[in-house]
Amino acid sequence: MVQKAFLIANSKNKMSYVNTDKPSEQIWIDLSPLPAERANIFSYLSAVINGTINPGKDLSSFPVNEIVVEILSAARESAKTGRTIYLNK
Amino acid sequence: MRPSIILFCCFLSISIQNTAKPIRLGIAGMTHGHVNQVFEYIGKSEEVVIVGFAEPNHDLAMRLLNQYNAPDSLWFSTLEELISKTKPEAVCAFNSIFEHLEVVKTCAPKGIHVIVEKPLAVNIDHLNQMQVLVKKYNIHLLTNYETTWYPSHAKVWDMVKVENSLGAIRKVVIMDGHQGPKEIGCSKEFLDWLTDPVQNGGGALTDFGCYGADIMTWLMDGQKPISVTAVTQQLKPDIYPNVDDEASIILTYPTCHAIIQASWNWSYGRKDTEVYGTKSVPDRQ
Repeated sequence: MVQKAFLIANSKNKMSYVNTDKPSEQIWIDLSPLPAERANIFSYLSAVINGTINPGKDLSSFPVNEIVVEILSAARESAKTGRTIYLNK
Repeated sequence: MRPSIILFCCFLSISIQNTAKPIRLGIAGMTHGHVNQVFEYIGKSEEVVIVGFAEPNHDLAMRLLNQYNAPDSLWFSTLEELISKTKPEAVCAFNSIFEHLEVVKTCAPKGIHVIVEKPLAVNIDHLNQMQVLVKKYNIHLLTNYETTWYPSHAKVWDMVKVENSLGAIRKVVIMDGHQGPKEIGCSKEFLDWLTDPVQNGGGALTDFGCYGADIMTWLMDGQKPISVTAVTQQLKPDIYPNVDDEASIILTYPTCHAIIQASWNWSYGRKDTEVYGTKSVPDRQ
């Protein structure tokens, strides 16, 4: 299947979107502000401790960041040995 | 009917007051340049009250407290002292990545939640020790990334997971970094550990590879990649003699491929994520 659309996300307040039917056209998507309790680390932390947010598999969560450490550790080993590292399930 | 409405409003007001009780937050370490976000936050919200900063380097602590007009009384030389005197409910670490484990070891047995500046740990051994502590003492252990608070990433999530307007994710390219920490003027105290293979666990690979690993794991709903392949280089050994300054990491998944480009050699600071899907959005005009 061909790739038909892509997004570029960064710190800007608009996000770029390209549909490959019209690849020369860059569409700008307006972004809404994040909900207050997810807008910064301190509000988020407060909501987690108060029990109104369950970190689940959020970007800040422990389960996701356990895997981040595994990926970085494997990347270091790969760079050092010149081999591809396969992770255990 | 009127009295019951008034009663309801009273309950509502009490419940709002209860949830608005500020969280007592201590800061462990001030060497990380991102500690500025703590000072910028002080006084702007009632959700969190900063109870103190634990930093063994007295000169650094005073320099920062004075720079941001914060009282000297917020300084403590050790985390233990900060905890015993200020009773924080959570501690936020702004020290080296190697030191994160020590913060968790100090806080977890006291039931204090921990949040660390990215990434979580320098290696698997530190991670394993953290896993035991988190489980035993039932604390939250969170990791802070600047990119988590970008509205663009929430919109990507909506388009991919909720609206399903991008189709399946086939390819993701994540580019993070800047010209180099020394080149952009990071403090000596920050550079001392950021360019140390033990204290940081690597150079650009750790410092900026973590953003891509985090975003990709999140987009994959916590799934591990099948494989990890990385190439690193030291293009500036005169400036960074002990760590990589350039890293490309390729992750494979059953249905997609991710390329993480972590670098201290970009000509400008950037944190860009490109997500390529299989489906075009219907024309809504």
